[in-house]
Amino acid sequence: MSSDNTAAGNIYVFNVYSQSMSLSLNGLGISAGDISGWPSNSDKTPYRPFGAAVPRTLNASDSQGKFFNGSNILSILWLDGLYGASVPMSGPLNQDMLLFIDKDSWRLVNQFGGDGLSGSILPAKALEQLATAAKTSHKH
Amino acid sequence: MIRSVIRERPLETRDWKLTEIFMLTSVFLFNPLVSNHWGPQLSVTVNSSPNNYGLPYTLPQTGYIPLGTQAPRIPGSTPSGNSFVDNNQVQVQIDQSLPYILPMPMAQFPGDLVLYVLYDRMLLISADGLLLKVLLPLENVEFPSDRHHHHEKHGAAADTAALVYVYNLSIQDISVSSNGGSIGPIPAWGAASSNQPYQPNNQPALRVSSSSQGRGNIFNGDNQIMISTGNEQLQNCTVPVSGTQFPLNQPLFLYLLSDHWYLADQFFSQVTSGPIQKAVTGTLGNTVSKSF
Repeated sequence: MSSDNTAAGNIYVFNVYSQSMSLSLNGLGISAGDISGWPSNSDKTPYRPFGAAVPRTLNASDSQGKFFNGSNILSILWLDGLYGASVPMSGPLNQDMLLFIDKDSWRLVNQFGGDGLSGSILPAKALEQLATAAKTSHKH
Repeated sequence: MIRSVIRERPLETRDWKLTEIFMLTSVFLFNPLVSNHWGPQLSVTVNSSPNNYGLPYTLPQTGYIPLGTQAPRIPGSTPSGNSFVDNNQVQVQIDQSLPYILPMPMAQFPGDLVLYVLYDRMLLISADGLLLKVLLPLENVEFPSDRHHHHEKHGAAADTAALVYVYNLSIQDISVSSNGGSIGPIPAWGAASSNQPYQPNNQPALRVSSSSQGRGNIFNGDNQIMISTGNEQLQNCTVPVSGTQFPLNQPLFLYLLSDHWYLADQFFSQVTSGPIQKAVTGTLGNTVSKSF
C-alpha cells in the first residue's frame, strides 16, 4: 500500500469485499486507483483485504479525491453497481485513520482500532430516493 | 433402474400359488453441495447400517454436475442392511449428524426415487421429476454460524459476473428461456438404464445486475423463466434473485424439477423455491366461444 501523504496523515481505505472497488471522494477518484477485491482461497493470503492510502486535507475546497474535515461523499463502484456513503471526518490532520468498507457498511477507526464510527453503504438508487425525499420534505 | 424378479410364494388363505412380480428399484442419492477440492464426502447412514453411503461433493471441474450414488430399495418395513425400505431412519453426516425419518412406502411411491441431500433438508423426487417430499431433520438443530468455514475451500473472488447453473431434473428434454431470451436446451437427466441414471444436466446463464440485460440472463430481480418440453408444452415460473443477498460474482444453482424450482448458493444454505406452473400460451385451444 503506497502512502500519498507525507506531511499530513492518511486515511487507509480497505475494501473488505470480493469485488474490485473504484472509489471516488467528493467527486474525484482517488489517486491510488482501484482497490482490488480480496483474493480467493487459492491465493497465499486468501481473503486478506487490499487497501489504499488516501491523503487527508483540511478544507472542502481541496477535498476532491481526498478526505477533508467535514462530511465526505464517497462513491463506490463495484461489479454489483454504484453505491454511496457519507463519512464524517474530524481531528488532527496528521493522524492516520483506517476506513473499512464492506458491502453494507463502513467503519472508521484510529490507528489502534479505537474511536470507531460506522455507517451504511447505500445503493445509488436508495441515495436518489433519500435525496428526493429530502427535497420533498424541504418544499413542505 | 428397474429390475424385475419373479418370485413364487404360496398364499396361505388360498389353495393355489400366485406369482407376484416385485419390481426391485433403487434410490439414487445426490449431493449438490459444491466443493473445489476432491475428497470430502457427505455420508448417509440408512437404518443404522454400518455400510453408509459416501456422497461426493459437486465439483467445478466436472461442470457442477452432481454424481449419483445408487442404493437398493426393497418392499416392506423390515430394515435390511443399508437398503431403503418403506420407512427409514436416516442419518446425514455433514457438519454434524442430522437425523431424518424418511417414509417412502412402495405402494405410494413405486419405482425408482431420487433423493437430493442438501445442507439442512432432503428432497425426495419421483423418477419423472416430481417433488414428492421435502424432509427436514427431526430435531431443531442449530446450525453453527460459521458453518461455511467447514467447506470454505471454495468461493473464488472475481471481478466478473458469475453464472447461474440451470439444471433439468426431469425425464424430458427442456428448453429454458429467461426474460424472453433463450438460455438453451437442457437434456433430460440420465435414463434409468444409462451409465449415469438420474444424473442431471445443466446449462449456465450469466448473472447481470439489471433487468435491461435480462434477456437470456438472470438479473437481480424477478426473472420470468419459461420452460418448453416440446410438443408445445410450456411451463413458467418467477425466480427472484437478490443482489443484496448474492453478490454478482457469486455463482448460483437453479434446479428445475417438473413441478418446482430451487435456487441455492453453493453451500445450499440459502435456498429459495417455488412452484412451476403450466403457462398460459395464449392459444384459443382452451377457450370455448359461443355465439347466440
